Amino acid sequence: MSHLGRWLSALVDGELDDDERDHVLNHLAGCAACRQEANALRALKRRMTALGEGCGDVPIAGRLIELSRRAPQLPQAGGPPGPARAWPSPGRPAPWRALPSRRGWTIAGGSAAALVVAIGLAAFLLGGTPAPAEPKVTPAVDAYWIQHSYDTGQVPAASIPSRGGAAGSPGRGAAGPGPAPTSARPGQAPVTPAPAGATASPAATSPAAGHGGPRRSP
Amino acid sequence: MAVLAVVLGIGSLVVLAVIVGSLAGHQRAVRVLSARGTGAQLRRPAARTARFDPVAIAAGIGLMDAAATACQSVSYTGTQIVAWWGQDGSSTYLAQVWHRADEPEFTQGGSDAGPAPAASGDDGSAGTHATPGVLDVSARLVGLMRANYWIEYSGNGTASGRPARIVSIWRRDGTLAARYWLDRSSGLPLRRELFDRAGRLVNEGAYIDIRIGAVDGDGTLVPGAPAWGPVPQATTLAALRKRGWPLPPALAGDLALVTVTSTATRAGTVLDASYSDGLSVISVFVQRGELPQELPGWHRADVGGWAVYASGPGERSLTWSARGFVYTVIADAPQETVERAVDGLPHERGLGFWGRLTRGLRRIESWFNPFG
Repeated sequence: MSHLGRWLSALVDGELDDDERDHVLNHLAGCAACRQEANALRALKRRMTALGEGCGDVPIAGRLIELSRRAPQLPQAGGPPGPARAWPSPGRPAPWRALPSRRGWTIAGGSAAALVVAIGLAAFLLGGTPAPAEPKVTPAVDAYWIQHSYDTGQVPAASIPSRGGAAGSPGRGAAGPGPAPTSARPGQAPVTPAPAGATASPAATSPAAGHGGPRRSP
Repeated sequence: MAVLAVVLGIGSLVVLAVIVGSLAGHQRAVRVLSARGTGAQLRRPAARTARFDPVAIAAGIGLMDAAATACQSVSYTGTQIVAWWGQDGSSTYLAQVWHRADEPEFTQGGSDAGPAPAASGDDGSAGTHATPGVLDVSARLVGLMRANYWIEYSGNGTASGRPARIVSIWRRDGTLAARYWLDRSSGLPLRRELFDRAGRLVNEGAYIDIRIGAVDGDGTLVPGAPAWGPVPQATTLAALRKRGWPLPPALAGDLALVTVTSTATRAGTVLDASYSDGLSVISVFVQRGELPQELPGWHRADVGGWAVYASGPGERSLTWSARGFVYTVIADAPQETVERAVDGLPHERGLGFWGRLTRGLRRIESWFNPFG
């Protein structure tokens, strides 16, 4: 348990004047608990500093809190010790001063709110920028139309055959890059999903009109 | 001098007559479709209230099955005129069709508005889009049609100058979805009309010239480009989804995932997920990445409340990027179906205040987290 309260963080932040620092150091010299806490605070400060410039406002926040705190009534050098003395002796706990004043809470709360608003604003602005760029592609619509013809069950011919099969027509097999189709429906063979949601019409269930059954000429 | 003037006048008239004559065929076909389209849009079919006749249903299914068989087993060649009416205009094109028995149908077409917008792709290609015909039906499409619609034989008529049987395709809510004119002798579809739920004609395709039993040319028809192959290493759909590929099993409620193919490009793997309800076919192309800031040949559009890029013909190509993927949709479907399909695919939604704040906080956290 610390006996020094925020005096300890002020020491770590290097914010004490000479007299204050001497008092605190005197206490630390005789109090192992406070020494251990001071070491821990120093280690924490080093880590936060190592995070980068973004954490450089820790001393500022400490100072802001410090502003809200009443300055301790330090005894004058050489003055008689009395009840107003703020510095505890090594064997006596320091008076508890951890609770900041109303003004301190206001400043701290305002600072936190400002930080949240700043982060939110930054996040909103960052969220508006587009996602990492995908490769730009232009639809090869001419090739797609040809493939669409296959989807309709037809084959786009290479060129118009002349009547009677004149030379140079596709009827001669001279013009197209692809092989002559032999299947009944090229482009219709690949992945064929099962019909989804197909419902039989009454006619489809009628024995007289079964699909592929005997056909009646009306 | 007067003789020279008369000769020049007669010559000019002859040249004019030749030009008009050469354009007459195509203009006549377009005029016929345009007139029919306008008329059909004015005469919106009312929603059906009467009960379906089981005999007519059975007959309709039998006719569509026969049409699928005919599309596979009958040789034919001809010219289809195909028109799409959309929210932002219309497109009409002619498609040449060749089909030999037990081979796939070959088509070649182009927009009446000339070359398609120069929407260059990764391979730098640009030019006229492949525009398929709309009258080919397969057993798979008829199966999906039966699962999603009522198929009813509704009378006789003529199409392309040939006697035909008419089959009406009804939605479950009683609105007319499509009508087919099937050749009485061969069973081939000669004409199709596609309607939206409001009864507006959105697509019409018809043969303006068909020869059944013969195909022009005496050699092997060759595709202009090979079809894409199966997904790499026989990957299952579940594995693809586990790796983040968004491949929903169905779109817009009744558009089932029919096939998934893939190809490798310089920009990476592209998957083609094909969806259909038997009448409409929607191809969804998915690849990793995002769209560039500028997309030449495309313009911004609003589809079902989502901001996308659109391009011709008929603004049936849509693209957008979301969550690390680029989606390109090519649809042969009514606008309302396209909107529902687009709505069923991922989009980049606004983060909102809290989402943006959370993302920013995560970034700040990552700065201090050595493992982040």
